[in-house]
Amino acid sequence: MVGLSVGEKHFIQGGISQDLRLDCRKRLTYRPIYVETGIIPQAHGSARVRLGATDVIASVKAELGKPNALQPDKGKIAIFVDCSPTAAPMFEGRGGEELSTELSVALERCILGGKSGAGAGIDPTSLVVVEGKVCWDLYVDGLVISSDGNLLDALAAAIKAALSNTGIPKVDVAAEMTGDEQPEVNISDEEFLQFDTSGIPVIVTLTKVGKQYIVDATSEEESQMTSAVSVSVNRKGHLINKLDSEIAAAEASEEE
Amino acid sequence: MKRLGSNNRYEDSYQILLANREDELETKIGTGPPKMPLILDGIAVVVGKHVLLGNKTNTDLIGGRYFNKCYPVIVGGKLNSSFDTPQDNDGHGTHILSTDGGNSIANTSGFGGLLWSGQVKIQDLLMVLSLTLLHDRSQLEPAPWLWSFLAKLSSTTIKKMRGLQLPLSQTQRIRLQRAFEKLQSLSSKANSDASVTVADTIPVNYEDAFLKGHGTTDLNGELVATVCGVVERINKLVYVRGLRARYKPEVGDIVVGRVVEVAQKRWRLEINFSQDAVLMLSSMNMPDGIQRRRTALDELNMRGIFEENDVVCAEVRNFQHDGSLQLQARSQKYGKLEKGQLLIVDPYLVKKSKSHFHHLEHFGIDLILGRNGFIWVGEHVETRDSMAVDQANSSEQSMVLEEKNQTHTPLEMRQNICRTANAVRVLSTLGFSMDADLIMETVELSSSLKIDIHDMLGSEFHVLVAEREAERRSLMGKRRR
Repeated sequence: MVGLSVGEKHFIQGGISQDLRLDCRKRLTYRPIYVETGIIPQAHGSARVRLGATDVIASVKAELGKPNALQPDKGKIAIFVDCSPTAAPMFEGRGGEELSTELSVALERCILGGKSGAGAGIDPTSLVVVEGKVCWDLYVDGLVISSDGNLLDALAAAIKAALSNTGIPKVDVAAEMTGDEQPEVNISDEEFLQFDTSGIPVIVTLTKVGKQYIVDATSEEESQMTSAVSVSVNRKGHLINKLDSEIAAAEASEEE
Repeated sequence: MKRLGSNNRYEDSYQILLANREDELETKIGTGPPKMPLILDGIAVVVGKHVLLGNKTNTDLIGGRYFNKCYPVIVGGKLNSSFDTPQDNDGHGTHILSTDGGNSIANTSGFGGLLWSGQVKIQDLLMVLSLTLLHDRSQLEPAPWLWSFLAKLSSTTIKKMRGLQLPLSQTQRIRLQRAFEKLQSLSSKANSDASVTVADTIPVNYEDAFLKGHGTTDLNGELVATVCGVVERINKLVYVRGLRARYKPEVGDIVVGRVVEVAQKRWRLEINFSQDAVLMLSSMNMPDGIQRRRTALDELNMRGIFEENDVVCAEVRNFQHDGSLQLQARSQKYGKLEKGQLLIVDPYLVKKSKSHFHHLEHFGIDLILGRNGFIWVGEHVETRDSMAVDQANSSEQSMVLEEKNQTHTPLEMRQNICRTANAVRVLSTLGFSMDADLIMETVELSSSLKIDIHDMLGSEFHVLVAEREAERRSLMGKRRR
């Protein structure tokens, strides 16, 4: 990210305190959001979300696997985010790994719930095919193509859209097998089952600049923040998780 | 590699790729089993029918981890460990194969195939183009078709990216199209279809003597473009201006730059040029205004004048022998810019004019159009007469600085700044040349129609501005006649 001079930083902070940001938004106004789904035909579900200059893609791939021995009635879901070097020069090589891990962990907590599975957006029991033997493994991948702030919100929106676009192929299980033998499965090419995404939350990040909070910060505004709070809310209005994060390490402001 | 300011690190790779340097590549690779060839920053390289994928591309695309699942299914049984991961060094790893795993796409094989259809769907998103091509060396394939294919694909990508990223309704689309057609018909240029891609022939009258400029080359007696861009003709000079061209400086240009480094007796500024420009300490007026030799103390206090990341306005003084730029900021109107915002547009939109400094009295704001595409919009600053400054005043100024830290720009002025900045953004999206009058007119249009500042970035206002401009130019044309 390009640096900002003292005068510019002052201007940004002044704007936020006067409720008129650099691109003339109010403090609580989002940038126009563009969502496209079904952009990757080879994946089971995909979506692209553009939030100003922030551009992210999410894709969902499903494949058959064996469920965890400790939880034989549940499928597996893995969420992984990758910050592409095209997004920002600092992501070159391994530079983006720290941010990627942080985003992946945050999204996993929001969408998959805590350790016990409480508050999950997706019900893993819906992914099982033959209990104990065959289940669906869902791999949700997020890719940050261009970064201009507010990655968490954009990624959560992309994942929600991608999951709503996902079609899990229908599986016909062959005759009953006994013991440890793997049952034969026939994956349908024609029929697909839609995923129930009503439980998947939406994440809203509030960044604090000076004494006010703003929503949907650009990367320039993020450089001025002292802290940020991300809240994920689902359709029923339940607050699933509150994540405190300091996405960009800014110096703590002196108490005025 | 560039540090700050390089907003697309793949640009150089594109240029190499599009310049048809296949002969160079062929000699480098030779005829033996292909080692990892030139990885042009993650873009796949193809020579003849050698394999070629930059292994860096694989992990960036979705689904890179499924490669090892598909291969044994097709071939039966595991192969060597290099197939276990997409990140091998033989160029076998293909994310295409992996996202393909489990689905079937026609005209592909387990080793990958020419996935035209699959790639075309996502071509408008990818900056990193990666193609998997037939690996079988027994088949003879000429390379040139592939180069032009790659060029076409990348140029279509570039064209799509330059397209307006606005959601337009059907009527808005039609209105915008009509406005653009009107503007094109009014344009004084003879050629209507001026954009070219690599290897396109440029329509030129070969009987006239003409000069071949940048971006063109003579191929088989024809004038052919070597970059993707727009053909420009000035008198007898024919050249192709690239779409992502950097700023081309001339002596005497006003530029706005950002300090990236404070070096010995000079500052380095980033101005969207191929190199950082240099502003010598001796080309800068001292704060106390006295003309004197710069001492070591002055050198130590350079940060007091300009620091890193400061926005500075200066003038191009001359070119160094190595091609880099030297700037000077001797007049009072040049110097540090504070209390405002910096906007970045394409350099070719800012044409040379009599004055680049505009003081919009009505709004009380300063508008500086840097020829390098950096435009500054900010509060008006009175240019101080440096000769009158003395010790007493300097202490006063330091007090003013402290006050500044507490007071912010008044709201009305800030609204004017935002409105002007949005006007610049709209004009830049539509591709109109930046002109102070045009910017003022756009601002007045928005305030007369009572459009909310934030709505200026919506599609309706873009269409209105385009229509207004088409009308204005047709009126001007009629007046001339």
